[in-house]
Amino acid sequence: MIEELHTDNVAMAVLRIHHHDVDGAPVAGLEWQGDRVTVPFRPALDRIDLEELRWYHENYRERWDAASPDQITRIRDAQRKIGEALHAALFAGDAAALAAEVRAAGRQSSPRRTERDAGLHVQIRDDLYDAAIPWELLADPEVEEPLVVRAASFVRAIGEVAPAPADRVMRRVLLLISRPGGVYDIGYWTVAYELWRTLSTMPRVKVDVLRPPTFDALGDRLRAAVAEGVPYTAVHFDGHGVILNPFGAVRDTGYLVFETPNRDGPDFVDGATLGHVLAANDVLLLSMNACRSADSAGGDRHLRAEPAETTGQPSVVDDVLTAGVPACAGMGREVYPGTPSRFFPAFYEAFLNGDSPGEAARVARRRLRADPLTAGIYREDSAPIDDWCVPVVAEGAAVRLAPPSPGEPAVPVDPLAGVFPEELLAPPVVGFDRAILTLEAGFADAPVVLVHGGLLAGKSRLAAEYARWLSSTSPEPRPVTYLRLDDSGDLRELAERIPDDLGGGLLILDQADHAGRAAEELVTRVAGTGRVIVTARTPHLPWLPAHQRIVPDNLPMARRAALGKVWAQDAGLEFDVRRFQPLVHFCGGHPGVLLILLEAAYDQVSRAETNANQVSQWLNDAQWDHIADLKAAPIERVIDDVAADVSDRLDAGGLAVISYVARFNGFCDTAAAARLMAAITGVEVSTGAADEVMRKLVAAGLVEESGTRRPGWWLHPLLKLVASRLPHDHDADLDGALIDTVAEVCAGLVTEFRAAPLEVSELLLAHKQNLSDALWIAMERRLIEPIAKLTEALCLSCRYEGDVDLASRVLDSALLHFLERDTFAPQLKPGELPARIWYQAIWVSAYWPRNLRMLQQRSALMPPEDDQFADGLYLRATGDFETAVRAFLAELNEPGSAPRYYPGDVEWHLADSILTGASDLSYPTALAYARASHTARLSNDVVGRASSRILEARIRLAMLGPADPFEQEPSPPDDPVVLREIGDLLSEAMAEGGGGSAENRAHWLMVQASLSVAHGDLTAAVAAFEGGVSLLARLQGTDQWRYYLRFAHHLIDHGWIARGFEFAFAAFHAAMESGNMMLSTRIREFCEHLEATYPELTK
Amino acid sequence: MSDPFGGIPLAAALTDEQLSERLGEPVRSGRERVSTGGGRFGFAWLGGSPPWRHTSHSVGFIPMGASGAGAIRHVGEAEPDPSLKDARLRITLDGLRVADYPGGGIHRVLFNFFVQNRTGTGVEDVNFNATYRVREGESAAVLNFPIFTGVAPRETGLVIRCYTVNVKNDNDELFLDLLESDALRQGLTLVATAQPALGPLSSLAVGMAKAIATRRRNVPVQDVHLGLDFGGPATGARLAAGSYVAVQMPAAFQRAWRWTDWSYDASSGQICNAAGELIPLNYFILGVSPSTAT
Repeated sequence: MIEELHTDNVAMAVLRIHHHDVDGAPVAGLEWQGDRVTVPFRPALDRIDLEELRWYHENYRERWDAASPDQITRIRDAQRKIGEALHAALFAGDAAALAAEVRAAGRQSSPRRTERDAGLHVQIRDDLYDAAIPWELLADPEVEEPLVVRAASFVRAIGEVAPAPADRVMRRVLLLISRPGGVYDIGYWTVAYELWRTLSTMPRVKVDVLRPPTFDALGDRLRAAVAEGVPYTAVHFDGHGVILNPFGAVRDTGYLVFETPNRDGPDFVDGATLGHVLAANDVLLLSMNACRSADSAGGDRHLRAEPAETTGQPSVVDDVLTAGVPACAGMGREVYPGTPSRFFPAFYEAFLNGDSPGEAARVARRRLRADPLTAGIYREDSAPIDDWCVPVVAEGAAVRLAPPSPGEPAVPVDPLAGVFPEELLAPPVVGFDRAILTLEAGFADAPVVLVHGGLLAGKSRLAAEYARWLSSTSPEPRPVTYLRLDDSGDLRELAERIPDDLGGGLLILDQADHAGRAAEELVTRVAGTGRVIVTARTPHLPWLPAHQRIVPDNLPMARRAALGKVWAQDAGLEFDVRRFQPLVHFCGGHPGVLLILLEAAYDQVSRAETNANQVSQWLNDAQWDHIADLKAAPIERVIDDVAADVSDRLDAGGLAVISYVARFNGFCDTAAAARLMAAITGVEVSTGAADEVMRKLVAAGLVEESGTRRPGWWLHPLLKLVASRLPHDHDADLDGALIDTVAEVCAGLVTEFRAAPLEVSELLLAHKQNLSDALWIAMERRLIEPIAKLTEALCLSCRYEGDVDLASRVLDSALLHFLERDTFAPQLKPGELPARIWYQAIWVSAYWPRNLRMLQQRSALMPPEDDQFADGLYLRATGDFETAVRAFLAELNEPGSAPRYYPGDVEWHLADSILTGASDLSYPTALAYARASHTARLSNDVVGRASSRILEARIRLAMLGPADPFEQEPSPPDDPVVLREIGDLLSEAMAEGGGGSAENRAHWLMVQASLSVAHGDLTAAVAAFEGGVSLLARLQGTDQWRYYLRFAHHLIDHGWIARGFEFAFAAFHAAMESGNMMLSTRIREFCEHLEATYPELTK
Repeated sequence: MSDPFGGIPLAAALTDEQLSERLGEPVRSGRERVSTGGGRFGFAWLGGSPPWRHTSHSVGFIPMGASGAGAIRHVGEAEPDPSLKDARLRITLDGLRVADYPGGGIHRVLFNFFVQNRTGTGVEDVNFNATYRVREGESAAVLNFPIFTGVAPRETGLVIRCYTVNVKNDNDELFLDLLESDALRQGLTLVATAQPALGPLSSLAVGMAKAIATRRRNVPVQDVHLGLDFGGPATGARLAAGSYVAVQMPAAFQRAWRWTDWSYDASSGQICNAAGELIPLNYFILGVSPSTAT
């Protein structure tokens, strides 16, 4: 029988669980239908399962490639297993009989029910904070759905939860968006935008944004609302949360991180302090997407050999409730924006329509469960994240707002209806987080902001959407005026209708590139009475009074895909991002370009009449005859407008320059532009003159300053189309000029790499498309010297980034130009350039060439006989470490003439070869060479110095363990002094700034992983190992068994038997993948030995 | 009240480079660091900054005779003692902990104390200097060290300022030995009537502190103003007999600081956490009690 609290045809049943201790023993008190049962509560939860589940919720999304689908399946199973273990422990002994009754009540919590309150309501009071029981996972083994989504309401509580009907005529929601990290923080709109868009369509709901998001401003705003007679119904904190104990207080504390004025550092506010302010001002609900705001676990997030002696603490949610706020929602984990941005719109929609917070949470959780968080928009095949258990909702009282009356309008009146042209209102914008944040901050400093940027960068959309956001989310009225200037910039007639006082509102002057005196007079006249946004392509409007400048965000790939989806949704269409990927890439992150391309090409691409790759090729080559087959009118109109604009700005010489610059792909720097012009015209062009032309192109919206450490320019994706509409020299050899220019510029960069790795790698990366393009043409033309230079530069860039796969493909293609295709005999006499390519190949990837026949032929790939250094590299690449060591020693004793390597390189390779391939007797020798390599380095060789230090750390670490990875005896205990010295070596390597290359980072991470094991921090160790091994896999191929096996040894030596076994098993997999069956067998035997030694592994 | 030390930056306001230049020795202190990385709503407080870099102070109050857990309350929670309105007060230094000052080893700390004293003819500003030696990480051997005796608060309350300078300049150290003479160890006794000699003496103390604070190798570390009244807004501080503890701490945690996490052990004169560990921050304790001197 079920306790009936209502007379509805479906009754309300309440299950109350109280987790506390009796005489030091944990118990669970269950209250059901007036009966009370207390049972010992010791659920069998596995520490490793819990840690893996935490990793899955918190880290998987950023390291999705570190886990196999099987592992994720196992973790998801563990999630269920934990829930069932909780259920078993709860409904045990005297409480066993209750399980069936609760199950029956849960059936009546059907989502189709219409009566509020009906069905099963679960209230959990947990006084044992350090246990941090994940109650939201609670699952009845006989029911598929976990209880948290099955029950009508599932809440945490701190005492009795009484019904609390509330009648708020106007439901005010205060959004507090705290980003103490400014533009480097999480996107400003990632959660708030979706929430605002949902709530702004609801009747009797008003969303305000707290400006500035400081704790003092919060108190002021809440008190003002009470004084106005319309207190806030809910406050949503969109920002960071943390649990810490910085000074050694009695226990940890959960904090929310507020901003301070001018973002002058963070302001940590605890739940009690916040709760008192909210309760004193009649706030009914606080919701937070702050990390761990509902977590009561003490200490950090790391699984440690010796668990920290922290006692746990009330979560922020608990403290807020204790302070008197009726309801509170927070996050039990560290969360990505994807979870709260899906949860809270559904939650608030239900809550503001009359559901209690617990019931609203059920609606939102069902949404999360039905549409789980994907690991990434392009990773649709990867396993999703079950995040329905992450939000935690607590009730001190079951607040239930009176639902809207039947006669109320379904949608509130839009105060900005008719203000903006239709094309600026749909679809909803995507991205712009940094720009909106900067606009919010910018208006605090200056009343005028110039939004500038390239063609179709979304300037007008940004201005319009910000206006709607500002107007809608300000407590006080913010009237908005929108003026779009025509091509002549004429404004006089319109301006005269604008009053002198904006009344605190916002004026937008759109497309003000050609604005003149009238605009200046208008802005000057109204400045100080409100806010003014001016949009223009140019960043320089001399007539504009003191102002801030903002560029709309270039959308990253995921955001572009999201925009495509939003566009399609708005048009009622389907959108498969993979099908349109070439266009998503082509748009260069300019939202307007993507939208115009989708509109032009959607029909043909979706009907498979053509493909997006083809379309992007037409656009890239300005093949207007093909483009005309699309819905090309909008594209043509834009291109012709811009072509006319630049024709007005530039003389014939300047227009010719556009056609030259347009030959670059995506990026050029001023030196490259000047060199290209000179190569074509035969006339020396100064960098100043090139710079002047580029600045005019900036004003036309066709290029943007790159912001790279050395100045450069991003080229607009439509530049080639514009150039095709301008007069140009059809006979100019632009391709030839591109090859010469890029080869020379990049060859210069290569020589600077070791001293300035960050600057050079940044520029090489920016030039990557130019490099690739120039190399392709050079190969077609069989220009050996440029091929060599371009290959070396491209490979260096790839190696720094860790993209060895691309480097290998480039080398495969390039080498064919030095060898006979069939016999692999050298096509050219051995000389510097072929050798250079060869050295580079070995240097970049030990597993190149992939075609074994090339290796077997040997002659073409063998280094010249008198080059011992190259010989050493070659031998090491083939796995002959001992002979490689001899070659490096020979080079060291008698250096070749005009060596290509840097001082210290030979010693480094010598030490590395000994470490990788020799016995433990040689470790001291390897260490001596590693130290010698550091001593020999040039003072400006920051990459080399870092490499030497990391190598020294690797050798010292290796000396602590067995040389034989199959050694079955435990290693001797670690020497803490040695560990500290190894840590110091790593710190020194990173402090010098040269540790950023993929190879240095990979080895650094691997050593760090072992140090973390030694320090008892399994979480940090596994994270570092996964990062390191994944980089090494990219750099060296798939033969990673050695790393896995050594890491397994470390883990087992330090008592992490089960995890060690898993990594040993991963070593077995790696050996299988490499095709080495003998090795696989040895590792399998090693695993069997582990199972025999540790019987618990087979339980 | 004018600010005699205005324009002299505290150590916390200087960069490591500026401080290295000032102290004549390399300083690598680091700054308070936070991390919002990883694309999550987590936040890491990485610390990294030594106690002398902190820019805020939190002030607690220990009622007369209180000890143990709960003995320290926030100064705003102290009950004002109206009987002190007409009393003459004795102000003592009851504790000084140097968890970390710039440099290392034994620190010579110059204290400049300021108080406003009511006389028959008005209010006079009084300054007094004292110097203490403390080894880094320890507390100075000071308890009930007299600073002012016979201070008459104004009708609205008592204004106190404490300004500390880390003295490393050898010449100044010799000079400061003077301050350790027995005569000056008795503190400054104030009387009800105006004392003509007090003005010049007070000016001398300020001038000396200012000169030392600006000399090479010396650097000011703490500057605490306390306005204690007999009642007012909750954000204020009350005047009562007892001890006032000023802890130098990061501004980020000022709102989150809980004095209830700390206890005062009267037997050792130390402030500790539940595990008996000393507070890892710089602090000093000022005692206020009715004075028998007239």
